[in-house]
Amino acid sequence: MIEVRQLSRRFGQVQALDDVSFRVSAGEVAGFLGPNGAGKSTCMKILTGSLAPGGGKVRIGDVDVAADPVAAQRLTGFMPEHVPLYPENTVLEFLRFVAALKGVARRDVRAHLDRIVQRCHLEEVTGRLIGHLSKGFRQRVGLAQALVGDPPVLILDEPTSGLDPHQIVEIRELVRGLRGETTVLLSSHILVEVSQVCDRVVILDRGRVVAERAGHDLATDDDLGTVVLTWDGNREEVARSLAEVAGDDAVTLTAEGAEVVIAGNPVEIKPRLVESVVRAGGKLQGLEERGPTLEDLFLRLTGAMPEPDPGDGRMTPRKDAP
Amino acid sequence: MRQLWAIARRETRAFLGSVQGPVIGAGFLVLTGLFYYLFVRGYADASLATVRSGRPVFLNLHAGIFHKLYGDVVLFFLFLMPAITMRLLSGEYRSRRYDLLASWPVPAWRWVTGKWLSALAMAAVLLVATSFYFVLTGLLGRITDPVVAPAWQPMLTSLLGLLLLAGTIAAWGVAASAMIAHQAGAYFLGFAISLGLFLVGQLEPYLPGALGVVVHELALDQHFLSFAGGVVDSRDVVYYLGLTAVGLAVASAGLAGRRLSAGRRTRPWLTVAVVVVIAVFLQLVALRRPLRADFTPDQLYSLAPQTEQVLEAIESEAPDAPPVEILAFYQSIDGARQSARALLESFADASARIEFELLDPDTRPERAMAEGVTVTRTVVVRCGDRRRVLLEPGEGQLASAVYRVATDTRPVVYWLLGHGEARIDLEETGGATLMASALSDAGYEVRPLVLADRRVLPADADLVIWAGPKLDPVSADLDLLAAFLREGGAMACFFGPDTPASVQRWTERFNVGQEDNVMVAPSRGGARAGVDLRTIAVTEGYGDHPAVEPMQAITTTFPLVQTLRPRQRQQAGVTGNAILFTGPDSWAETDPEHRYSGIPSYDPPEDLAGPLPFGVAMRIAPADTAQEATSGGRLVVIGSSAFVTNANLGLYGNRDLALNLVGWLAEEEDLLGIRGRRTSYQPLLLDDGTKEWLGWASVLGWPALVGLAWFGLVQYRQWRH
Repeated sequence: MIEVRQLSRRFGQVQALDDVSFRVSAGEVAGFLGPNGAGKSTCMKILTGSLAPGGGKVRIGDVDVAADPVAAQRLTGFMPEHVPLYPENTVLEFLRFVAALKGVARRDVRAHLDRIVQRCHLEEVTGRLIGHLSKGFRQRVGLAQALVGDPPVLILDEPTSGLDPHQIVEIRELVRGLRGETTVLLSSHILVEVSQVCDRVVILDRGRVVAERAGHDLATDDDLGTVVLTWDGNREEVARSLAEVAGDDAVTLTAEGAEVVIAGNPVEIKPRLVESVVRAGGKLQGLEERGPTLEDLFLRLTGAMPEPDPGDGRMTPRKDAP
Repeated sequence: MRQLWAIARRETRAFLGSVQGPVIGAGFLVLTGLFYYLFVRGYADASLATVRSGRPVFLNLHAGIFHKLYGDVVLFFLFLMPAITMRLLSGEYRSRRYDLLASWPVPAWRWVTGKWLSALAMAAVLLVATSFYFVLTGLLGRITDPVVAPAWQPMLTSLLGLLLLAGTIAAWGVAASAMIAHQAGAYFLGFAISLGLFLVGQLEPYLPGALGVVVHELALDQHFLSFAGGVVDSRDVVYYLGLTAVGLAVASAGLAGRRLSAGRRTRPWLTVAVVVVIAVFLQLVALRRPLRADFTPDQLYSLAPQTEQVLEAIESEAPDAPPVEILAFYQSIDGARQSARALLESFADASARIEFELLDPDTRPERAMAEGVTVTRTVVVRCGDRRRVLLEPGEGQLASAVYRVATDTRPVVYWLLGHGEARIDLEETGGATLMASALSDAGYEVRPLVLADRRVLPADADLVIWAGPKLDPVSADLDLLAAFLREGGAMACFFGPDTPASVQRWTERFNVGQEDNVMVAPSRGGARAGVDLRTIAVTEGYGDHPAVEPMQAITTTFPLVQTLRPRQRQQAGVTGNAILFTGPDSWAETDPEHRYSGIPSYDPPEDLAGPLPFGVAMRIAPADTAQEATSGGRLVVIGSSAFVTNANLGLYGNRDLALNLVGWLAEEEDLLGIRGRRTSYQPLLLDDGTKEWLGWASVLGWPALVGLAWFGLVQYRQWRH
């Protein structure tokens, strides 16, 4: 349904996209994974027709986006990253406006929008001005406008960024519900999110496709995870004790405690780590498990960490996982 | 279409619902209200001055108030429209909403056109708000006496013109907004473009021929003038629409260019080039074959069909003949200048042989002197070495003059001699050489006429002037002249107290009764200045008659005047009225002892008190019909035999009056059967209380009402949602 061939795009000196090719078949939920600045948004703008490619071809369904952008846009719903909407409109006014632009038949508009409002849980805010809405609701309005017209292809740029965990789960559920009927391409820099929702993941780094994997392949039991431990007591002794369990390389001392990289099933390893802290005379204050991070994934896939962009720090992967 | 509509509607609502909306609206109305108030005050002052002087001049509510007001709105729009359009697209870029917008299946031209429509709607809202002034003027017109009402037709065409102009500025504003992501930048670019289009016309005098014409045609404000006057002209409509289309095409190209790859970016500019070519082509067609629709109530700017026929005839019958030049001398401050310009423009439009120049005698005195023009509102018509001079001509007179000058058909004036009249070859004070040369300067052929043994007057005689006979004519002469009048001839007679009684009785055949007296006007100022008490000066005493219509407020003097008036006991088929009156402080001295003694005294009831008539204009029906005289002979009798002599003709406006009388007699205005245009007279008299009230209402009341109501709605919407 989405076909991208040898796509490239340059912004001045920066090669934003470099020979990117991938396909997403109909009904599939595909993920775009990569650190900020990897070229995800650029690629999506080209897909939705708001940006011209430097080279290469993009097809949505049977339509060449460059040759007939409007026809391609009829097939696509897009939710941009920062969802800038019209603050002076109410939610319903805005959705009606989008429905008119997307050519939803006049007599169907009401029923169609009712369905979308329900699906995005916007019932209570339809009469409110968008400018008065919270970030979470705005994000959902952004999603709702993408759904208007039931486009066969949905392109969602960071649909969960800036949302609280509860809202993230809702959006995730919503996207899952689309599986099968709609082709979805969503981007994220959060590994777990992508791995949980997507059938397939395209991993981008510095404008290049680094890898393409099935979603469930990304976060397996064999994956590397991190456990953060904090305790009261002798730091060195506890650290030594931890190293005995996890291996010397796996333990990093931090200001409050230590980070331990684990391989294998955390359910087995965690009790052993707790045990080792207590054994060394430490009083355990906290234990937090972190899922496999993007760095870990990159390490595994490419054998190198993603390099931070020297220009700004935006390429540095975020450490907080949900 | 639905997309276009949705975009326009959303954008209009966004503006109406924004806080800037009522601020811009109220600001605009304060400004227009202030100008409206000033124009109404000026108009009321002019009305008062006119009513006091008793001299009706051109006073028209539309021309005096709304024409000026909307002329200024053009300037306001120059500043305002770019402010309305600046955010339309650059705002989308800045807020990054563009990425979302561009993902919807809407072609660039629809975005651009939809947003432009919203700007147009805003301009319409502002313009509709100014119609309050029209209503207010209507109300003011009702409370004054006489009741006057502004014409709504030119008002509507003005609004239409302003809407087209606003649309043009808005189109280029949208183009600027599509090019520049920065709102302030978009404003200044949009403003610079519209200002450039506004000012480009000013270059006209500095550019040679064709380029000057192009520049004139490009100017934004020039094309508004007709609309403001009440005329919709295809040249103006096509200009605005064409320039709008080009602006929108540029805007589309700018917007579409953002999402096209480098290789395809030239394509929308090809569209622009095509639109430019089409617009220029249509404009050329419009210039070649202009269509005009005159919406003024009395067709102020349309020529009568007869005039158009005449003007077409002088072009088609002699295409290679030299051009007919019309030089019109009107002061810039003169209210009649505008309608004179319109008249001349329609003449020039109707015939390629006609060229005109509108000159201000104050700023171009050398031209006025070269043409021998001493009175403002003088029009000179020239063709080769032929020329005619007219005073404030109407359409009919001007058309006749153009016709005569172009075809060299000079009216023939016969100067009657043989009874001791003033002689046209005598250069002394009692002669009439000045009159003769004034007549030939004005385009008449002057020939002496001695009746002697003639049985009929010469067949080519258009007019006979009989200036101050001293001897009794034979009765055959009198019969001959009477027959001439009955058969449609025209005569100007200057008969004073010194004219023989037989001649005076002769005028009674045409209902003109001469009274045996000498007018005395004991003007102290006049006496001190050495002016004879028996010289009558007329400044305001002109009757309501076309022969003296342009003379209002121009002073003329008459030596030794005898009163005369249309007789009640009317001869069949002769009608007419008095055209000259003495002043209120004069009286008719009937006492033979004191007529010439220098010590006259007012002795009622024998001596009648002024104002008294001493000039009449009569129309004489053809001999065989007893119908109301509308065509046929014309007779003017002035109760002063020496009025046209060299001693008096050069004084004040005497020459102009003499030529004007001759002009009426020579049937200049009726030559082609064209009715004269009605001049508008709509005085608006306001007392100080009303003026004050009007000031508050227009400068503060209305803007505050609109602004607050609008702001309230905005706040209500914010609160409700």
